Amino acid sequence: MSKQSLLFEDINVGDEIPSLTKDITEVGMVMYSAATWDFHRGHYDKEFVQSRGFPAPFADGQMFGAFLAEMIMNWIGDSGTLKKMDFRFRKMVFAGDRVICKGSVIEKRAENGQKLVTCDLWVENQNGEKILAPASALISF
Amino acid sequence: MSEESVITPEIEAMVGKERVYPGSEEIGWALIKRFAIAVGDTNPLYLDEEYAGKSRYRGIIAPLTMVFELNHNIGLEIGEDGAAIDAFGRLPPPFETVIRGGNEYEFYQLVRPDDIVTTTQKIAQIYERQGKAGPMVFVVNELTYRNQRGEKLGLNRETVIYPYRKRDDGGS
Repeated sequence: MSKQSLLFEDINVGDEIPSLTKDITEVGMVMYSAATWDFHRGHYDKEFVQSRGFPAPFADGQMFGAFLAEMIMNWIGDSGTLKKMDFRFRKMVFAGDRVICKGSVIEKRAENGQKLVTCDLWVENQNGEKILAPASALISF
Repeated sequence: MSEESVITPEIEAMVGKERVYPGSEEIGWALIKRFAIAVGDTNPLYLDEEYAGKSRYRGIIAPLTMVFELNHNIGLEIGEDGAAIDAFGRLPPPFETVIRGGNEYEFYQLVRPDDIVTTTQKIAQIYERQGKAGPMVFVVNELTYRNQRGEKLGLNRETVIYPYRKRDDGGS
């Protein structure tokens, strides 16, 4: 289970972050609703969402924040600290969709004794459409 | 085709308002586990006490974005759509539908099972943009999370978008 540590010295601009794939399911969304105490019917009630013109229950936006943070944590392992992350939504994600979180290193710098890495992030669905972009993360080492 | 803003004085007056939600209990390892499992994140830092104890964090930590989902509306009455009815910062009728714009997170400190988290919500900004289907109002909330020692854990700057619909559109 031991995680490898990523060293600042080994990171280069253009490096790709290992992607993270997630299947969006109704059960997963109910679990997220319960864990975050958000019971909006949009996340689990088929009849409700269809009455509002949506094809299926839709994912909570901050779930993608959790996915992106997971991708970053898996990548940096036991080194590095996520300092900032931001993202904008482009498209809704529905039960049955598969999302792929991706990212790459766009800047590396040392300032005030801190070693900083900036990454560009985005999330695609199974059709290759960006459902979340732009997004970025700032990591210190 | 009026040029009038859909931001009423009532809505304008919301800007700058702040509300504090004092924490009352430790968040607990149980919630951390449930959140991690719900998002399918099996990192042992959240789930395995022995592993986490030997790591540089010296104990269980919460998945990083969990703090931004500690719901301070937990006691509010829930409406027909399942959402809290009187959530602070929610625009009054005819605004109804809420679309997420985006989030900006700042992480100051890791969150641990024995943290008691107090949330401060500030309505930082409200502005209008013309969308394809009519005016839309953007509300920017700044949520600051602190532990029992008053130390900042994180900041979540969240933008939500309210499409403007006239009241008499016969919607459901």
